[in-house]
Amino acid sequence: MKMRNRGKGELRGIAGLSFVLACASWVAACSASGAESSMPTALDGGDVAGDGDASIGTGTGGSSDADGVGFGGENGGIPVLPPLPEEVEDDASYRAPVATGQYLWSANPESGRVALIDVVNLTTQVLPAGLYPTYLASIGTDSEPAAVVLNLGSSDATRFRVRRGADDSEPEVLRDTAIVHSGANRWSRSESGAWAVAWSAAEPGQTLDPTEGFQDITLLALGEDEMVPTRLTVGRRPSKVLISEDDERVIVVEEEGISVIDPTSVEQSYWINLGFDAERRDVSVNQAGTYALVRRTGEAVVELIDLLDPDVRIELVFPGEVTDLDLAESGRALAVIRSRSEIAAFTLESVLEDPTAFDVLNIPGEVFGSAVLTPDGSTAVLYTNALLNEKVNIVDLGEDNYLETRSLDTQAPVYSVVTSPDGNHAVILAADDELMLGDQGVPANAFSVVALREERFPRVVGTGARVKDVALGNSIGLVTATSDAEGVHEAHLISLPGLSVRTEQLATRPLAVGVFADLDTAYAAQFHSEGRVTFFDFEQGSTRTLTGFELAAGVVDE
Amino acid sequence: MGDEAWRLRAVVRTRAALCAASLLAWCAGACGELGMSKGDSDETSGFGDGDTGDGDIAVGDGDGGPLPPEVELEETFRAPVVAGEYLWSANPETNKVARINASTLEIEVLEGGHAPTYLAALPAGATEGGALVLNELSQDASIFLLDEEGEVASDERIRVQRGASAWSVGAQGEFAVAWSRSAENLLNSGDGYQDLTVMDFREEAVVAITLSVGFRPSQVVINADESRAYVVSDPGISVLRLGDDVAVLRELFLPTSDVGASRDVSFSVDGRLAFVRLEGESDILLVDTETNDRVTVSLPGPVTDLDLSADGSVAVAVVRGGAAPSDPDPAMGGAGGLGGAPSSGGAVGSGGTESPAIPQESHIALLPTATIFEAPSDFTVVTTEELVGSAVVARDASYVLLFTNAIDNPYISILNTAEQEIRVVDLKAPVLAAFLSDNAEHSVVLMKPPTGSTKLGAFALLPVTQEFPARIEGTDLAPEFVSLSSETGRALITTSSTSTSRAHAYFARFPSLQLDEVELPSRPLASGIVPEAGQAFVAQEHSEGRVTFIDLETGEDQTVTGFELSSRVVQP
Repeated sequence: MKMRNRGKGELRGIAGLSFVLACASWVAACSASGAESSMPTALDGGDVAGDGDASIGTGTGGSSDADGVGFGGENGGIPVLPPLPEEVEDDASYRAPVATGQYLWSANPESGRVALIDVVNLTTQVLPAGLYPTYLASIGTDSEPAAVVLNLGSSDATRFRVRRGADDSEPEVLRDTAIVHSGANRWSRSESGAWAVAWSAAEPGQTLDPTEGFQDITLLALGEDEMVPTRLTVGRRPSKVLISEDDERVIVVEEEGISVIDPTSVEQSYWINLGFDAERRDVSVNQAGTYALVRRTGEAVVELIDLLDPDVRIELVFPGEVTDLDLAESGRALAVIRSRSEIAAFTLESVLEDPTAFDVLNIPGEVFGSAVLTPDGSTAVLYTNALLNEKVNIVDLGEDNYLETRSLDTQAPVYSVVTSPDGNHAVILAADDELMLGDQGVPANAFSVVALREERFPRVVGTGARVKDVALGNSIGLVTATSDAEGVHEAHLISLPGLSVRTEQLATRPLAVGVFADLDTAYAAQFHSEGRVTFFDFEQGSTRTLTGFELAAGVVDE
Repeated sequence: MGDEAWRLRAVVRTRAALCAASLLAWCAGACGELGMSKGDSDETSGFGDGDTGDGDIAVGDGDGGPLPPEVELEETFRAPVVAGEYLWSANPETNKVARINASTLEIEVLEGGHAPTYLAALPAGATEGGALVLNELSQDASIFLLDEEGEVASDERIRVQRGASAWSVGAQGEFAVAWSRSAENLLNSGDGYQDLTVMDFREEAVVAITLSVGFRPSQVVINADESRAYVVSDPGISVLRLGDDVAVLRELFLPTSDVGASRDVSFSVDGRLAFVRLEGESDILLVDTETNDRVTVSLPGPVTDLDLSADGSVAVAVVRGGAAPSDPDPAMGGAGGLGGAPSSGGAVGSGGTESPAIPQESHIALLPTATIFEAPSDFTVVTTEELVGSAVVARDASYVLLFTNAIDNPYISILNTAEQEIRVVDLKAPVLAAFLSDNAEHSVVLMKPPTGSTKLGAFALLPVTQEFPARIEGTDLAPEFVSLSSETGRALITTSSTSTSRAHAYFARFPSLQLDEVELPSRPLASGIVPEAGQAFVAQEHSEGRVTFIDLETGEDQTVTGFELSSRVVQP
């Protein structure tokens, strides 16, 4: 067992889910529901601090290449970058509408109601929830759509289950309620649909009292008759809650450790101590919930922990400090060693047998500190947002062209990357080059669409305002941009694989976006006192806005 | 190591838990290079220098200087005991004493004396149990004794000395001592508070004997078999003979400090041995209370705390390392080794011109009470880089909680005495006091609000025997009472109130660490847990009486108000 010392220095909160993992979980949810929707990728000024130091600096020292990125000296023949700040990870929004099958669920905290919209015919049912329903999650399937919402005001959760009849009559919606802990504002659910966990995390921009630990979670058994809640206590400030593929473990990643809970006995099975919180780290857990990879800032060693036997801890020693670590659903993982312009590719299977069984790839002259793996683990996108850098590097991790790379210039500094579920495409958000310096960075008025598995030029799109949300399916995508000050609210509709982008104006500020892949439809929920959603039918080329559906008198603007 | 293993001077170098086997193995191989001496009982030169190794503790001697003394705050927060499933409540304003059945909420209102104030439960044994109440203004005590059915059979009034303000009660309820605590300021400023009343409950009629003891008693202890009582006062210890001929048997002078430093005295369960610690001294004085024989146990630096386990098996002495750190977050320190340094006879000195040297590491000495008097150098010392000065010892001495409240320090160390390993937990807020459940499985730790917090108090629920994360909770007002019941796995932490903010009771469940918050309608006076009734309670300030009950199973609360008017209102 590796023993760690208490670190010194400022105690920092752990930011929420990494952007990469938010994408991964979204993809997983889409797979289950069959709808590539409810993409929780809101970039609405959230806390994007990630685990690390958020100060962003510029590249200094050495000779600059064309992008102004400096290299300082060499190490074993490999140019070594000067120290850079931590990479910045994006956060997700949890207030977005969610989709299952052909239905969109939208909660209105002010009215205390949840709207169920049939995307095919735009009929709406308005359903009573608790007090201040805010955080929605899909817990159903295409055949049995269901959602659950956290009611902040009444500290309970309301479940809605759609029961469709044989005819075209309005479906029946079953409703039941369970008490949850006060302040719950996050959902995690099992793939099987048997369990859901309501937990708590800091809201974007929220300043936490040092004594605030968010240590309550509520485990909900999603039975047929009713939800059965069990309150549990976990470690301080959870950042991630997962339920293992086999439903046998609830895994809670916290500031100082990992809690592993048996949901059937509702007892904490064990707690894995990762060390005091002054040590900054991020933790990735594989989809099966059997292994965790722990990356610690400033260290070349990544720890692989067996979640079934936490005494088994394997140290993976890489050639330099690992600035990012991404783990795909497939078990493919990638460690980024920014200082050496290297990546190390491996699978969990391989390093479990031999901790040195990873392949190192050096990409000379390139700067990258972050990686996004496609869900199948066959392609990686490398970039950095620790400095202003317009390039992304695409690495083939498939068998045929293993570790082949190509570099793309996106014409603007990179902020973050969102990949499509099939891994064929990505949307790359541009970073604001002014705010990026010394700040945590925000997306700028631009994005690009890139093909990851064919030689295409990036499609670069300038927007009329800062980019807010991204939803990306395999064949369609939607990016919104908004500025209240300038009265600009845009929806950019992406068609794939053509990389064409069409722009539509929205009447009001977009709140969230998603795509219904099977229906070739995307939606943008917008700010409106009685609710407003605009649906974009890519096949028909039509746009329909549903307004005031909470008055049960929805108006459809074609 | 062989037979010497039990005297292993374990050195804990990391904050992570170590398994026993690995610790032993590591020690076996590394003692030499770490400068760890095994401690021979014949040694007189005491403590090894210790290798400060790779990380000296970051204590500053420039702007720091000696740390202030540790403060024993646990008693401040201790909730009163209850008798069986009954809760007793005295109201000095109405001269009433209420007995509330926590199961049924049936209430019996009894007449007290004038201003019934200081209340204690009389355990069943010599009698069927009952309650003792000192009536502050009538200079007597109301003695409520129960019959076999649990009903109040008698409510005798017994005259006691003026200024009586505290009870010490024997475990079998044979004897109780009503004594006078000078801190209550009930007598003239120059008074010595030296009278006390011993009550004998062994016969049908209560027998009261008044005795005179030392100047300003601070502590009265009745030994396990109720044959002796020990009164600690300014000059020393008054040994009282109980039984058929109650009398002052002998008086033992104890050393005092010229500079007024504090002294604390602990007794073995049978009372035979008194452990005397003088603030700033490295020696612990052991006094045989029957013979007045004395030996000293020498430790590597000034002893900042000395506590006995409730079972009397082990005395734990803490030698706090370092001086006030300029950086309150100490870095990892090295290890130190030590041996015994016995001397015998005589008394602990009253402090010379030179202060004992302060070691860099903190040392925790585990003194076996059964043998320490005869072999004062045979004891175990655990060394840690953590700055710890206070100890809270488990009933069976299996675990010791270690912390300091001399400076703001959020770290608490959990010492497993059998394995001699230490686990350090960051509680995010400076530790004030700690409470261990009887089975040592759980703890409640009170903290100060940390820098930057808008809270006025904080506490933590800390799993002790298993390595699970602590639950940390900020409170809007400072915690005032703490009750812990290992039998039910429940704890109750009650905050104070102000004119603008209501008090809250935090109802905690172990091992889940689930916490429920109950807003209280008025200022809490006392709180506790009644396991037999499955209830926790918070007695509150109210002219006609008010108690809030919390069901230990469901967490549901209900408040009973106005029971002294026989018109009680139950508010669910």
